[in-house]
Amino acid sequence: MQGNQSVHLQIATPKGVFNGSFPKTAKISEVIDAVVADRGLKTGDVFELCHDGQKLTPTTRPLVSFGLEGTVKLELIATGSGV
Amino acid sequence: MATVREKILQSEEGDLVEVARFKGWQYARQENNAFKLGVPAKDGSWVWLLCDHSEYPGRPPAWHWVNPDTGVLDAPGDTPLGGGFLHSSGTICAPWNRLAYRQVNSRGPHADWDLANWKSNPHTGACHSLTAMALRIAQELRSSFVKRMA
Repeated sequence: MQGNQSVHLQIATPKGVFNGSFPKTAKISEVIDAVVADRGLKTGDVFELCHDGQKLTPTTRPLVSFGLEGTVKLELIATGSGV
Repeated sequence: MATVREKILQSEEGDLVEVARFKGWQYARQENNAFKLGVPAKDGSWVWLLCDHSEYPGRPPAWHWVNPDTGVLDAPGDTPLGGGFLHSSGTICAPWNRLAYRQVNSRGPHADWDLANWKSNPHTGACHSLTAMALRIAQELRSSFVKRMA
């Protein structure tokens, strides 16, 4: 995937930093699934993708709809607690 | 020869150092199974934590707020508040924080949680590692932080 049709994501995860490119049209849920698989995180655990403290939800929306372009730094956050 | 616990901690420290460097956090290993972590809050200030993982992973780590200059733990001026996570008791309210348990901390919000079963507590979610916990704390400081206790 080259050119402006893809977004390069650098994502801080519970198992180090993920680097990879995705089509702009990739859904947030698809990105989460890919990163969980790549990092060897437990399938079935719930994670959220965040950008500058903002949750990227709903996860059915594509990357481009959040204005993410070029190289972007994100965080993969484990859901839970705050009770 | 390293024990299983030592191997787990060694692996998790590697992940945490990598993420801390990537995020621009301040990480400093301490003596006695602990580390200090500085992360930015919503207002642009820095919040410091001392994580005591001496009983981890059998028991959850204790995430204290710390003054980076004096080393004093959990002083009101160093304690962030905001929402249910950055709890009004001055503790991080999560089953993966040992200080949230009333049985070990008089300020702990929960007398109803079982310390030994912290990983299976449904509120733990996927916060099973030190790096997952640190990422969650940093996220809450960016999104839920309102003020310091004093």
